Amino acid sequence: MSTHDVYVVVNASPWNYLVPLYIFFKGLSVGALCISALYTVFRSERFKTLAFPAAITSLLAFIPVPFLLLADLHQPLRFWHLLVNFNPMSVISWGTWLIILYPLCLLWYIARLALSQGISIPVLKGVQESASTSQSQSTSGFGFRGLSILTLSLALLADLYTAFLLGVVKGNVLWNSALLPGYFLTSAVVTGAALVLIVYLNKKPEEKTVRTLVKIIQGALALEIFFVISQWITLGATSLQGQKALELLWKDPVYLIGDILLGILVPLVLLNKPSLNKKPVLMIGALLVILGGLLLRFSIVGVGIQAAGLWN
Amino acid sequence: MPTEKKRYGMVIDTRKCVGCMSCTISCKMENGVTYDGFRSWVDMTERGVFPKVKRNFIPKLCNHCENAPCVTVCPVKASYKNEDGIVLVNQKRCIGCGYCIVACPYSARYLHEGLKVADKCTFCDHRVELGLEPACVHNCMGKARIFGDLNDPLSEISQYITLNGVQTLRPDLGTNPHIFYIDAEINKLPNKGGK
Repeated sequence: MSTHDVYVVVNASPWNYLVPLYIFFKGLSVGALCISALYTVFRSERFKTLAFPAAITSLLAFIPVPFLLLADLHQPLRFWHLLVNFNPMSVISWGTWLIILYPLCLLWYIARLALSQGISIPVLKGVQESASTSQSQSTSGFGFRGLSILTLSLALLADLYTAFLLGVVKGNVLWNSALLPGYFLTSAVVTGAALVLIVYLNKKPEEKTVRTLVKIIQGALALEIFFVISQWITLGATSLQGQKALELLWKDPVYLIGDILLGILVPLVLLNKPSLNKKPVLMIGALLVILGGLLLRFSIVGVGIQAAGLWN
Repeated sequence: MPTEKKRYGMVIDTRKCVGCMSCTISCKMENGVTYDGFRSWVDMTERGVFPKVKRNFIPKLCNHCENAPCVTVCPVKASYKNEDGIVLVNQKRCIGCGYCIVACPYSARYLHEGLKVADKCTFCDHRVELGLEPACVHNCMGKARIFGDLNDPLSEISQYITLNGVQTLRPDLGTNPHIFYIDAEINKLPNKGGK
């Protein structure tokens, strides 16, 4: 028997384009830092020359984040309420502190990294002087590695918290999924790596490093495909709610054409057999990867809100 | 015997609802609800094939859940549950992040355009404090809404729940709503293609 809605009220969601933008820029920053950490944490010498530009890229990508966060609040002048009213059950409460601690740690990390590579940053002169003092007090290289591990951990947590923020929303099948944190983190790494690739291609790139970077992007894109297929299967097989959400997702051109086709499949083709002779192709591929990451956030947030409206 | 602690709830007998929307209007008037949001409303659905078609009315409002997701997710503790079971928003503390609005599985919250904070049904607590009924209950022409203390076995609402089979919205979520429905078509499938 058919049921037709004649008059159904769904109170509008206050979340707009600022939320996916916020998640996207945070992911970019975290992804770029992951590339830097390949040298500072995982000691991969191949990424030595990339470590500093990747860290700077991470910092620059983070700049819009606090502004987007504040602009998204409808009472931005009450931001300080977040600092004095901690609700341990709320993901945003944890996220607030991560968003404060991560960039502070990142600044310190960049200053120490620059010092270790003999680079002077006029803007961060004060931080560098403090870092220099603490470095001279440090008895071994463990101090910087510890800082690197701490910065990377904060970065990962800062990225993951938004996935949990969506994931704990009851009754929203698209968000309420164990796949979402892994999906978002993979997307963050791939977009961050793509941004670092663009920056690196504009410097004096080494063929081997470019190839390794592209391999990382390709691997992360393959992992993203795994998450996409897993999401489709679980949504389609679990419940009618899931099927309806999947239907909405498939009908969303931002998702299917933007994220899947332009953001994953086309770059996989363009980034195949990378070579410095194909610099423009690599640039376009990397740009599409970043675009795909942006559109993924828009579709997941937007369709999630839309899907929840069907069942209230 | 009633316990000292009150626990307010509401029963909505959809057999008596005629879809007049007086609840929606009286709520808007009583609480100054803005044009683009609703604290209380009536969903209407049609079910069946001509000539056997039935129109169903499902009045909706905040479910004042026992395990309210909006209270759990609020980062500044602006959303809270009163001792009497009413879920409220401290509008001076709310930062307007909208997380509670998104987290409410019943779409019962909205962003107040004027105040720029989350707003929702309060069971007209300002009236209840004076011993009055919420505006939607008072103005329901079909007497489809019964409001009262769920902890008092002698209250009209408790008697009503005892005598009638009641349902809640989305019981699968474990929110334990304090709004109970009688004879409601609440498990309908979504519009367009729902069978």
